Amino acid sequence: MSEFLDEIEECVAPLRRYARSLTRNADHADDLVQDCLERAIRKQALWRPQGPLRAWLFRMLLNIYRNDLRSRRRRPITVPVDQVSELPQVAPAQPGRMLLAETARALDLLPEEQRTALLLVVLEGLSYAEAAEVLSIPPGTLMSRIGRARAALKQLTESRGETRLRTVK
Amino acid sequence: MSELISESDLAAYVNGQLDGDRRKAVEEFLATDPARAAEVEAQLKQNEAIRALFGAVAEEPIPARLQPLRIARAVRQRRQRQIYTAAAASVVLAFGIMFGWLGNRYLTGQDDAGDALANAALSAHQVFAAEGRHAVEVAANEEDHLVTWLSNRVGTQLMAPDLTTHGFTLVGGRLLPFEQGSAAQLMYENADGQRLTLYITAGAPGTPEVDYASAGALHTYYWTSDAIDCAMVSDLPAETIRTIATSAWRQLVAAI
Repeated sequence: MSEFLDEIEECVAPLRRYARSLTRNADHADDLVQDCLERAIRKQALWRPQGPLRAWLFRMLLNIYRNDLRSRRRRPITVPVDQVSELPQVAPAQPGRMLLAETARALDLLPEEQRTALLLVVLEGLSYAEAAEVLSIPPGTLMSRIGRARAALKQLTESRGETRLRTVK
Repeated sequence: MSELISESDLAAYVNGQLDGDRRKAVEEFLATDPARAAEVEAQLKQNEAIRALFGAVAEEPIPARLQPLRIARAVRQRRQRQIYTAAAASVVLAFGIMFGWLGNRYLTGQDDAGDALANAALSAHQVFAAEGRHAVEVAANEEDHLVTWLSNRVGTQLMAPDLTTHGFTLVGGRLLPFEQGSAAQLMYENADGQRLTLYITAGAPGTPEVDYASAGALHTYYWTSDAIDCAMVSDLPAETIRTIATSAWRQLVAAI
């Protein structure tokens, strides 16, 4: 029991990070993680997988996130303006601040299936096999989603740059 | 492009999937192909940007509500409460509801928690049941969201009991402060515009109680338990409230 909880505890910080990258809202992200942890702990006797828990927890978090998205789409929720696209604090001196802001915006524009795949591998450092398991897709599909996500990110950040240049001229 | 290095190797390289020798082979290849090297460099910049944006979240202190031990304890208490409820239901049926209330109250004398709950529920009812447009924060058309939100904030699994068989439909709910934590208020209304409110907080270990209080025309029925405390307030006849409150309590406990 406590071994199980210890293993879950190790995943809390990564789950929060991933949830935050998906929702870009700290409270909303923590709500999703709380739901996920409660489900995991409630279901452990029945559903706990044989191997490591990480993929199982991430899969559960994603399911909760997607259900939540669906119900929000049905009944749009108004969010205070200052919570929309909540950007992490970045020190002004940090190089590439503009790139960060643009990457954040570009990520928001990616299709959900590309964004979830890219962030699992790049942000969470999952292997192809583990990420494919989390998303319940074949590894080949995962790789092509990540490839498309990278191409779209590149295009989105570049085209913004060009637009700005034209405006200056 | 070298026969040994494919596009998917380059992708695997930027996606952090290669180790040791394979990694070195890719790096050696990139040293000979500046165009590819620039593409790879741009993708590594994407990685850096993504990690710079969200990486720090994992270093933040973890809030209490996300601590597995605490969640496990709450889950365990809910389970015990379910077992207790099943046993208590038969006891209450056998000995009679009135005896249970009075006996519990007078034998243990522990009604402070219940009093605080009943008073808070009563005040909240007096303030919000009279409101027209602003009676609730989140309306019943967003019931799923309302329930998830309130459950998370109150710290126990809630649901909005279905009281339609008693002629009452959900208007919505709001979050309120209660002692050191939060409470949920759910509001219901019948066809005549009469309202009743259900005031719910997370329970605390102690002797479970069921009791009744009235203040003027308003009647309050309340229950306390380890997992959930709840009070129903309305100006309906006391007997009617008792029936509806019992039904609401059963649904709440069954959902925990």
